[in-house]
Amino acid sequence: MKSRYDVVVVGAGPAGSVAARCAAAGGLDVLLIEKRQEIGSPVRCAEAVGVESLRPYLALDSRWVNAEVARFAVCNAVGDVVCLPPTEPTLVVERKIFDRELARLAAEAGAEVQAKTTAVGLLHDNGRVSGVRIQRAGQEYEVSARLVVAADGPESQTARWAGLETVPPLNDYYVSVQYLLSGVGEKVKPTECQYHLDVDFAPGGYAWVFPKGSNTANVGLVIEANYADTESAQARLERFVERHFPHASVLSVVVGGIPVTGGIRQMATHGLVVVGDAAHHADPLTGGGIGLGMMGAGLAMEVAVDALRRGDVSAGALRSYEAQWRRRFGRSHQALYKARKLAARIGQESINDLIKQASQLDLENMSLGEVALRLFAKHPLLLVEVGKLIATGFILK
Amino acid sequence: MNTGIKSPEKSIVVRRELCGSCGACVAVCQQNALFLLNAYLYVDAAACTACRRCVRVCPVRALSLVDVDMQQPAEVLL
Repeated sequence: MKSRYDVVVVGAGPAGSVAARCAAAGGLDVLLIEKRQEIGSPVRCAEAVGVESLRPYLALDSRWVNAEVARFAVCNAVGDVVCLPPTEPTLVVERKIFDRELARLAAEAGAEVQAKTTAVGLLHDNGRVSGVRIQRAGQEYEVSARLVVAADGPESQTARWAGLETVPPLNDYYVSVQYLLSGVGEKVKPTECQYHLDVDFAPGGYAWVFPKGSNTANVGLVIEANYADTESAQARLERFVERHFPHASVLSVVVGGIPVTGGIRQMATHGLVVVGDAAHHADPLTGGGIGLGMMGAGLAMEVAVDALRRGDVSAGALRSYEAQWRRRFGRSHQALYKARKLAARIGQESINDLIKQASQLDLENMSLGEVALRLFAKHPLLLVEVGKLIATGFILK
Repeated sequence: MNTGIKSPEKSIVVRRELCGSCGACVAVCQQNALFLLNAYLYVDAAACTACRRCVRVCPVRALSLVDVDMQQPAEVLL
């Protein structure tokens, strides 16, 4: 490890590794640090990702593809199921291998990667971020950098040290528990992702069953953090598993939180940009953030590499990344955010009824308008709300 | 910076046997009184304002707010 780099990236998740690779490919001297002793583990993720969002960054590889998803099955609380084609080709991946591959590609592009290396503070110079204080192998180092990338996840300390506001309100925060279950049996189809909308188990959120191959599945749930008071996320998942998979074994336990604000207010400051979950880039409806994290990091580094070449890493120059991110994702994130709020507001009975109605429709041969009219015939107020959502860009394919 | 009002009688206690070091609590702490270091969660008791946000969100109920027996040594509270 040297004492000076062009770019130091804190956190080697998908967003951090993509950021490091883009910077290295742009001819910059890059350090990528990860506090975990093993990149990609422990993971905090349901591991579903859209193929399109991966395409610019890595070629599909059977080593980390567990399942190719042919359909989404959306279930209500009383046993009705609507089957939909995925909104885009989707994979369930093995993050442990996936993340390590992304970090390896960053290293191959010329970035220096260091695991079990923790950022413990920022260096400042004249009101701008000028480096990172790093702990590694029992020693503390001051490493200066022209640009610091905060890719250290939902609990980002790096962004906070730079004075950026990253703490989500509890009604825009998902808390999550997931088990990797073995022995899931016939209830899991190898190419189908299940989403369960049931407020008893997952108030303000949903439960999922994602196939992982070999009779295993990721079975988890997210709840709006405000509901964690009455019963913990884990206690709710225990009940869900008892109901649906009473004989399965638990191979691993995954816990975590996901900010679903639709993006932090300020994503860059003098000498620092924030990407991935640290910047709340995840889908504010589903909480999915692998692809969005990578795409956001790619956008950030396009701007940052150019800024570094011009020698201007002021907040003004770097915030052009934020403007570009909002142009690309602002409208859809806003719509997804509103869709989550709407789903939380309409109540379980309406959800049960909507899914029941939809399960009886020939969705593939109907236009979106026809579907909406049939579905919401008994819910005219909802039709208006959904119409507004569609108008703001939330297009169901 | 700690701008909250400290409740000297209360402190956050982490049950290590439950904590998965996921950081869900760290993300919601408005005082930045929680931090993960080498996969362990630590509480900065001086910064904590006993607001309970971390206690509420913990997916595995590893955190609790307890009355402090002022006779106990401070490190017990971490």
